[in-house]
Amino acid sequence: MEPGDARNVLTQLRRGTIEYCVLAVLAEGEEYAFELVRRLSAVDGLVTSEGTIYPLLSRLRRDDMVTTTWQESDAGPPRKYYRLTPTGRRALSGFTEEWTRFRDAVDELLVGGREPSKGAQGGDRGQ
Amino acid sequence: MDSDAAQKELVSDYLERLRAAGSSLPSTRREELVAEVREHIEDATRAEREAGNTGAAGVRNVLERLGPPEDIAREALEQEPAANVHQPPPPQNTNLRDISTVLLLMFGGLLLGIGWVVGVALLWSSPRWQTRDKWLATLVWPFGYAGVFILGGAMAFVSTSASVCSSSPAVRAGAPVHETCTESGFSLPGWFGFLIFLVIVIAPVLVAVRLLRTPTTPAGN
Repeated sequence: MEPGDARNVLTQLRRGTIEYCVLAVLAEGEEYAFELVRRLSAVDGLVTSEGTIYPLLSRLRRDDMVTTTWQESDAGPPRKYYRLTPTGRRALSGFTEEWTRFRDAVDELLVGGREPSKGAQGGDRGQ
Repeated sequence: MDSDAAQKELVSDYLERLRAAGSSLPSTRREELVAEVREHIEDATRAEREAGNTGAAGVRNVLERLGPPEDIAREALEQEPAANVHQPPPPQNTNLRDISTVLLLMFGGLLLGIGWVVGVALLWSSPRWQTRDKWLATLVWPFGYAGVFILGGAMAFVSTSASVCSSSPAVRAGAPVHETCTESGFSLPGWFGFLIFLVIVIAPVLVAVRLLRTPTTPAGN
C-alpha cells in the first residue's frame, strides 16, 4: 500500500467529520464565522483550507442544522452569528455516539492488534 | 501608501478568482460567498496585524490559510443542490418526449387522427419551442402525413368525378379499345403537381429537423 492511500483516507475522514466539528464548536455557544474558523483551524490537521468552511456553513444553514443572526460588533460592521438548531443538536449527538463506537472499534484493532504481531513472526508463541 | 495598495490588489485578485471559479453558482449564492470570504480576510488581516504581521505579508498569510479560491468554489459547487448549479446544456439534448412529439405530428394522423392531436398537445405544452415554431409545426402539419393522404384522396376523387369517359361501341366488335376521356374543369400541369407533392412531403421533414435542432433551453433565456 502506498503512503498516498493513507493520506487519501484522512482527506475523506476530514471531509466527513468536519461538519460535526462545526456543530460541536457551536454546541458550546453561538459564534461568528471568523472565530469559528479560527477555532477549527487551531485543531491540528483538521482544516487544510479555511475558506472551504464557508460553503459548508451555507449548506448547514440550508439543512436547518444552524441558524444565523446579524449582531452589532464593537469593531466594524455587524457580524453574522451561527447558532445550533435542535436539528443540529440531534445530528451532533447521533454522530457523536456513532463516532465513538467506530473510533473504539478501529482503535481496538489498530492498537490492540499490535500486541500479538510481535510474536507472530516466529509463530511459536507458547501461550 | 504603496503597501496598502498592494494589499488591496492581493485581496481583490483573490476575490476575483473566487468569483470566476464560482461562475456556475447561482449569483446570489456566489456573491454571498464572496462577501463572507471578504469579511474573513478583513478579520484575519486585523488579527495578523495585532500579531505583528503588518502589510502585504500578513495578507499573504491570510490568503494562504484560506486556500486556493478554486478549492472554495469547488466545495461550494459540491454543497449546492444540483438543481441550483447552472450547467451548460449539452448541444443535442433531445429527449424521448420531444422525439415523440415530432413523430406524432408527422405520423400520428394515421392513428385515427388522435395521434396528431396528442402531438399538438405535447408541442404546445413543451417549454422547448417558441410560439413561432409551435404555429409553424401545427400549420405545416395539419394531421401530418395523414393530411397528405386526405388531400391526395380528395384530389383523386375530384379528378375522377370530373372526367367523363366513354367507351366506343367498337369494343363489342373486338376492335382495339378506344376510350375517350374528357376532363372538365381545370387541370394542373404535371410538374406543378410534382412540386406540390415535394413541398407537402419535404416541408414536414424540414420542420421536424428545425424542431429537433432547437436548443433545449428556450432561446429567450
